Amino acid sequence: MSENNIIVAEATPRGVGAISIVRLSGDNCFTVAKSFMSGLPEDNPPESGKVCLVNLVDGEKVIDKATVVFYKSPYSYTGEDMVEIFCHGSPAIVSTIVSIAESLGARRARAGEFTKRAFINGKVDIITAEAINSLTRSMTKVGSSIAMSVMKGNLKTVIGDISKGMLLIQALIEAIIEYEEDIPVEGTMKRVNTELNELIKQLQRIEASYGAFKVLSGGANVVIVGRKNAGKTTLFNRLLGYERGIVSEHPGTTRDYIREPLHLGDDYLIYLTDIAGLGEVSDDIDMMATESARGVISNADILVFLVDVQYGWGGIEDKILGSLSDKEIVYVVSRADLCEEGVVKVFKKVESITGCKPIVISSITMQGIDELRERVRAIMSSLSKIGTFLVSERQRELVWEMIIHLKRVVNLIERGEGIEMVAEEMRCAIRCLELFEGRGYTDEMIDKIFEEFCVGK
Amino acid sequence: MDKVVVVGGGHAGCESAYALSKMGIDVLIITLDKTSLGRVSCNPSMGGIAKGHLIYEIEACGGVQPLITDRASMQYRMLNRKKGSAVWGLRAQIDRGLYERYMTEFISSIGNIEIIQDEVVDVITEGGRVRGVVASDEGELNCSAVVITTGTFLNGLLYRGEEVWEGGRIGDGASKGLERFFERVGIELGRLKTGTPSRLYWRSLDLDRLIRQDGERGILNFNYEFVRDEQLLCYIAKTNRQVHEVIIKNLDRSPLYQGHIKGIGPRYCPSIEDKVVRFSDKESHILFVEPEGWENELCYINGLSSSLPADVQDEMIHSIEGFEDAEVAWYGYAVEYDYVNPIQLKPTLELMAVDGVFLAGQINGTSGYEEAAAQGLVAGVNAGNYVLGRKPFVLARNESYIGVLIDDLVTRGVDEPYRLFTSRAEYRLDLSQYSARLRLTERAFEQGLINRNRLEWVEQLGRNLEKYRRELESRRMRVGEEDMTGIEYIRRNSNPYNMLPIDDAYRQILSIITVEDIRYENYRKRMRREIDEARRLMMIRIDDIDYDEVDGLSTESRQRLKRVRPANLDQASRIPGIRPSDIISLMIYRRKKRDDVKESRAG
Repeated sequence: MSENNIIVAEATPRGVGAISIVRLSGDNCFTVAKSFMSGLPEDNPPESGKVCLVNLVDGEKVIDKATVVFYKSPYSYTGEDMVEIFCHGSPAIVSTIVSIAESLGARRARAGEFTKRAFINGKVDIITAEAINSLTRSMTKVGSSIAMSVMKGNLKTVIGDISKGMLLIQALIEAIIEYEEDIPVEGTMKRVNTELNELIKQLQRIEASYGAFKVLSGGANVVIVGRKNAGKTTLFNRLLGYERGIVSEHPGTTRDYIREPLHLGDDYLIYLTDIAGLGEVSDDIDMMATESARGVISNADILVFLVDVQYGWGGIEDKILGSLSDKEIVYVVSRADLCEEGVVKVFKKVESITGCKPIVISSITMQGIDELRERVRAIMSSLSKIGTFLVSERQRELVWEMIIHLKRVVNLIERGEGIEMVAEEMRCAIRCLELFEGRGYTDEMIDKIFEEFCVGK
Repeated sequence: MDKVVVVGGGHAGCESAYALSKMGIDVLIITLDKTSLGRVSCNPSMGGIAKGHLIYEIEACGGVQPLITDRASMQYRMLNRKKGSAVWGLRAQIDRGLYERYMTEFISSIGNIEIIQDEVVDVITEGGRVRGVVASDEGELNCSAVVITTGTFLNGLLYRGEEVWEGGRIGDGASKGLERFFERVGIELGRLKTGTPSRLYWRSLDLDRLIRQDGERGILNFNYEFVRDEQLLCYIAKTNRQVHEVIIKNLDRSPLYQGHIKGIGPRYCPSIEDKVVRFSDKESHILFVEPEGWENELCYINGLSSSLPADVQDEMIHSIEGFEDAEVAWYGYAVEYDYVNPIQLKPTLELMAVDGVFLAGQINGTSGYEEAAAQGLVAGVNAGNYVLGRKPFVLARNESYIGVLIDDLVTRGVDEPYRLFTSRAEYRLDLSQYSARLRLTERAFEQGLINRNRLEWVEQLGRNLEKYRRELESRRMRVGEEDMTGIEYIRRNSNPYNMLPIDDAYRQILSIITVEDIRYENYRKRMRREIDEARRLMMIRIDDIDYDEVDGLSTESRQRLKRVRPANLDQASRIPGIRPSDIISLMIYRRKKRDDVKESRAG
């Protein structure tokens, strides 16, 4: 039974590198590890946290020379006995080590299992565990620094304040129930209402932060839209800095969408997508291209909307705008080099319709390309100023539920329903908060949380 | 035949003895004063919010407190009447003298209850079990179980200003000696404080200058069949700045503020000096002037509890409007007493340390007659089951306030006087006064506390509820322009109680339960899910666990678990300081153990 308890996995990403790390955790994992190592110092067990140089052996055969660290429970990441092996970064060596460990009774770790154990052993709480997960997944500097701030307790502080606010409201409501002869009901309810509205606003801001976090940490989906032949692919290529998409004079050259990652400075990452032009549909393929374009648009975080200076703002543009709902849009007057006298007119038209100043660009003269890049960067940068971020879908869902319950509380009070029902709804909101902080829990919930985690951590 | 000794004849003791007598067990009550069983030593009222709920539950379990309360009542009010019926709380003003007389007569008339006037000074144990008690006059008395209900008498000290004297309440001595027993078996004692206000002569008050408070008319009672027509009045008075100044000026003569009283007092029922100090910006505190009895010439000044010296209390009282010429019968005082932190008890209220010794009432750190009676009932039944070799009687949190009360006591422990609130119940909307019989009759019947007639009454109520609901479904009602069924009307109207019959007790119960079923439906669905979840945790028993074997528990958590010894994971999850990760560790340990067992069976 206890052999089952040892888990093993590669802790570094798969692939060739100078060093890879293999990690074992669980009761007796020292014995398992030692049985495929030679040259360990005599002390038994090896001193916790000390780096040792050993040969890794498969039977008689030395497979690698590596450094290892033994961590004695509870002074390890998982809180259990743990061993980390720093071997040479070859996938072959790594998989041999893992197989040997498996043959000695270790089991391959499931996604997120090391962190799950850390959580179970009280080494990290749920919010910290989620922050670790988002840190390991973050693609950008900004994303990592957000995850770090959550690990340091930034989110917990904010949620702590929310918790205080909720408990105050609950206390006021419960006081009305328990002390009917002593509490002035009207004044107390007034205070409840004020506090509630403040809290709902605060939670709505927090909920919105998750979208921003995803964009900042995982990269923003930036999609170039516009009528056919408006110069989308040319702009796409210019922004990337190389000729990725085929460009021609024929309208509708691009059918399938193309997506490429693009770093904006050190901090931000975007996924730039070029899609088929919108407008009249000429054939079946065109229809499919339009369908796929719509799908891409609906997942976009930021849209770059090209208005061709030659055609200006027309019915097609109206239709496109109508389909973009409430997304973040950067308007661009494109192909400025083709019709210099038209630029001012189109600029004014776009401004009067959308209320935004468009950027005038030419992919030939490179006019406005830097400005466009800067504008997108500015949007990302304004997102990063939010301050507090949610870093998991679980957190977002719970905040959303809290808002729903609090709104119901407001509604019940307005309708003059029994205060015991108001109190019950308030309890629902607080229950969500407890779940958020990892105070309420169920078996399934724990499993679900840790399924989301990546292997190794 | 096995005998159970009940030490003390207060609210807990009487309830214990009565329950035991119905289980067919011989009871010996040993009390300091056999002529005043069930003495109402503080406020002359029973019930209120959450406390009323308790009395209804005791009623459903065939208890004696509701019976005597109705007979001794002088006025009824349904508190929280304007809110939903789940939080309505019935309160009765009672005649102090009648209550104690009726209780003494009632208990004394029961065949298998013997009452002697004596003081228990020790408990005799043998091999970790109780064998008898030692009384100061009678000497050794054999018994199979003991229920200790000594209230505030354990090393009781009374304080008023500079005066200090021994006693459990005014006019009575303190009880000593039992602390030696507790010490011997390793029970820790703590110290708590409570207090009582002065009593004034009615004839000396200017009632015209007080606010009159009538009782509520209608069918109000704890026993369903009982109606009181004539009701006595209460009055409301208020403290003022001058009163507060008198108090502040004399704080240096308060035993509380001079540090003589070490025990912790109740925050929810503070002395007037506490209120004035803690809420210094409040201009006035409310006082209730309550009658002590039909013929009694005294009144109780609820809200004026104090341990200041008599001359200060005099000045304070005479500064209150309407009390200028008040004659004081006796002055308020504070009581400091020993209590046993109930964390040392099992959910049956039995001491973990000694088999067969049960504790109930104020000795467990609670306050209130109703809390005491509820514990008395549970301790009595369990003492009976212990003697008869039957299974323990434990009510769950989701089926009763009694369950909430006892679970709070034994799981969370007590460090200030404990009183019940409706907010302590997770499933409050399931626990209204009116559903008490529906919830508890079967349980009470199993224990032999009520007879078959009552069981049938409840079964009939169940059938009638269904019928009533069908009636409502087919009844069409017009509200403004809209036509709707009775059910929809109840669901959508924020105050459907005004359509209820007020003249027929039975139909009242019927319709209130129905209104609750309809209005709380959605919340109850959610509660069901939570209850199911809790039940899953309840199924995981951990009473036999060696906590040193469980990985992942912190040292503090290990200590807490060892102290409380929770029966199951659900209870463990409510222990203060126990973290989710501790529960998960226990879950995993249990699962591993189970797998071990399976493996060894398979092997």
